[in-house]
Amino acid sequence: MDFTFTPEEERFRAEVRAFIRDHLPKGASGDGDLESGFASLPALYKWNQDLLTKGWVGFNWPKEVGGGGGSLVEQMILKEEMARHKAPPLGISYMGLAWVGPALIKYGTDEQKQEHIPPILRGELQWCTGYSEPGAGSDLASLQCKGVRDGDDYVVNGQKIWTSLAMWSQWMILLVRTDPNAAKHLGITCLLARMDTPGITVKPIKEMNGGTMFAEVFFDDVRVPVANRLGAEGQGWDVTKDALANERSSIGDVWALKHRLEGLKELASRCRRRGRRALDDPGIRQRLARMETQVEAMRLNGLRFLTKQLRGEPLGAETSINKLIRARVEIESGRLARDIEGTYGVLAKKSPHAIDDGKWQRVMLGWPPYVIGGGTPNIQKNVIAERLLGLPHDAP
Amino acid sequence: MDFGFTPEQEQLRAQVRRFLDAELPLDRILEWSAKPQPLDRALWKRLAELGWPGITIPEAHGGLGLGCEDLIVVFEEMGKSLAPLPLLAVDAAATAIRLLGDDAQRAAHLPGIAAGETIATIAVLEESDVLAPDAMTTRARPAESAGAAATTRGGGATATRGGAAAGDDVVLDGAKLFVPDAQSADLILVAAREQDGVSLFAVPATAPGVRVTPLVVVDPTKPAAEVHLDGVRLPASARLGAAGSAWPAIVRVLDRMTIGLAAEMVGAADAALAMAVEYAKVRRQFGSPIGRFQGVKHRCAELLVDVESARSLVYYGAWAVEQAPDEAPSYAAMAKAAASEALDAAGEECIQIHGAIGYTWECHAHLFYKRGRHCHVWMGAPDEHYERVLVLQE
Repeated sequence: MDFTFTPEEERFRAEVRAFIRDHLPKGASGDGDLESGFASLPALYKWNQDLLTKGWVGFNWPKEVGGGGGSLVEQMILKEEMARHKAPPLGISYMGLAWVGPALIKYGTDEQKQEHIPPILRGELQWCTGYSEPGAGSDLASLQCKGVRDGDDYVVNGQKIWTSLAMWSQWMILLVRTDPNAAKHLGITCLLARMDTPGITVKPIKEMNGGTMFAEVFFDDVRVPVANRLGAEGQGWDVTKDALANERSSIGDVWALKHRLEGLKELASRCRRRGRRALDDPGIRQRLARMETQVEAMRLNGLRFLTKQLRGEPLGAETSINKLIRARVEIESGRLARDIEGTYGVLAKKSPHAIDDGKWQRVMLGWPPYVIGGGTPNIQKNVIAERLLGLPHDAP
Repeated sequence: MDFGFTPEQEQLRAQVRRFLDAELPLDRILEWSAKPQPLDRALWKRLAELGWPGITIPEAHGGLGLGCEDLIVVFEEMGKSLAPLPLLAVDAAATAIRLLGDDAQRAAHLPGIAAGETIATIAVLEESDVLAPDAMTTRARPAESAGAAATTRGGGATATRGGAAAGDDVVLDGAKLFVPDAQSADLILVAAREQDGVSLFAVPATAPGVRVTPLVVVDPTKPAAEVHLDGVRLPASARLGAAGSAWPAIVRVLDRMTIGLAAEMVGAADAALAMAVEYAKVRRQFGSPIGRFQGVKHRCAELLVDVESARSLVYYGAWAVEQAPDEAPSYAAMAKAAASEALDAAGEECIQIHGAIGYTWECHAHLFYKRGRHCHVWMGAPDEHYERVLVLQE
């Protein structure tokens, strides 16, 4: 075991820290409290421009497509330092960077790469992902949204749902069923559609915390050029699966949770429970330390998985382990904050007497996107049981 | 950056696995736990030939001179087999002698431990179940003059050992509880109040006034005893380190031992989960292996998350013991708390997934369950360790 870094890696870390010192937008707070905002919009674009100059947007992408070509360890260092210093995300086109770019790199034509990757890196265009449907959530491959070939177009009819950022996106990567007679994983095709195409209707969905981040998207005879197909017809499932597997290090999440934990301790040092500081309450102390242990385990699990990759072993379902831990901690942190605050825990934003203007109530009401999105905990457990433990597949 | 084991460490793991599979399969553990026997000295000698008891003892004293990372590889495999071997106690004692002893003391004790001739253990905790100098009632006091001492039991015999002046002899009085493997030990390192602090004494188990009473424990594969010290007269050379100054080293030894115990527990939890999973694959009900049902498979998945998390904490803790000693206490606490929760749950779930057969003596599930329930509180329950995680930051 060796937890030291090479001189080159240490130099890289110093470079990242110096960059953060010089360029971090004022008021940036990437602590997961989205409502407090990361910074003003112009400041975010400036940040993205500065990152681009360093090659740190799409840092894990190959240099040929304009990415940074960073090594696995450098990617980890970059993410870790950014999250440690509560920097805004590494790029503005969130979905574009997370899902679309990796899929384009692997399956896109040269024309598609040239058209789409530079705007994603520059943060000029937002993308959304049209995967889930009302009848196809955890069982995504059962999706029914239809794509029928008609000349040089696919004509799309159907509905998508839980589409994050749909109302602010210019493009969508979506999955449609092009062959209703093929086996369910094989009849799916991946398309790239402009959101202003006639026939697309976006209907925002109000969430339990009152916010609006995702939407329903309806398709009514929407014509998508065949040239905008990503991968071959019927290859859509592979295109998506590979993009989903592209998600790697959880180090950014670990640091966000570490900041959350520090916030909880600070909160507990201010709040009083049963006549003493909450931080002196044995029950609260147990829960804080247990959460700290879980976050620390998550950090170290991530380093073990990284080591596996560095040794050239493929990383499979192991990432589901940290996703499950993250889910536990996300949910517990809001619940613990409420219990630290006591009766004040019922007070939300704008209420007289609300602690920190209801910041922790927003955490308590805001975990589902992190916990449900990208596969619910129950699905992660299926993945672990089937792929890591070799238990029989769920479906009959 | 490399958070994994070297090829040599993997070879060590394979060697330990082969030895334990051949010598201590679970059927033998089952047989043994029905009627626990004293430590098989011949077996211990054979694993001493493989180097286990002296794995971290310097080569100059007959050991392998390896580190804590190598050691936990052995512990993890021992845990998978629920091996009733006193290696945790032996390594803790050897480490204490290394940390506190002078050259003569190291030369006197370490080669025998490495050779498998001396079984050693460390006795710190007492009836109060509180791990703190203030809670300790076992005391060391200066012996009376040589003439007077000659009239006490065995005093004259020990007073001349090591050539120390009789006037420097000490006498120990008290009782130590929950002493690991004391019933097998030849040498017991006893913590006692002396002056304003705590000293550690190397006490031969055969010294007059030492009485070892085995405890009857939930998990017979983790033997423990009570050690009474009744006017035990020792030469000053039995004291490891300066009088009253041993506590910081004892705490370090216990942290290391806690990480070792947690490594055993991770191994046991891993084996319990594997056993449950194998059964879930073959046991059929409602026309399907029960491992297809989410009530079963999801519990297994959760256990895997808990076992892997505890494992990561244990591995890092073992690294920290030697490479980042400041971090070791905190990781010992986190590792033990996480391993306790993982094994407690894995042993219990192993019985539940087996159903009624899991309650039978023949099924190995109860061996893991007992190890889990036992070790959950052994060397500190999770609540104590969680509390310590916060205290260490304050």
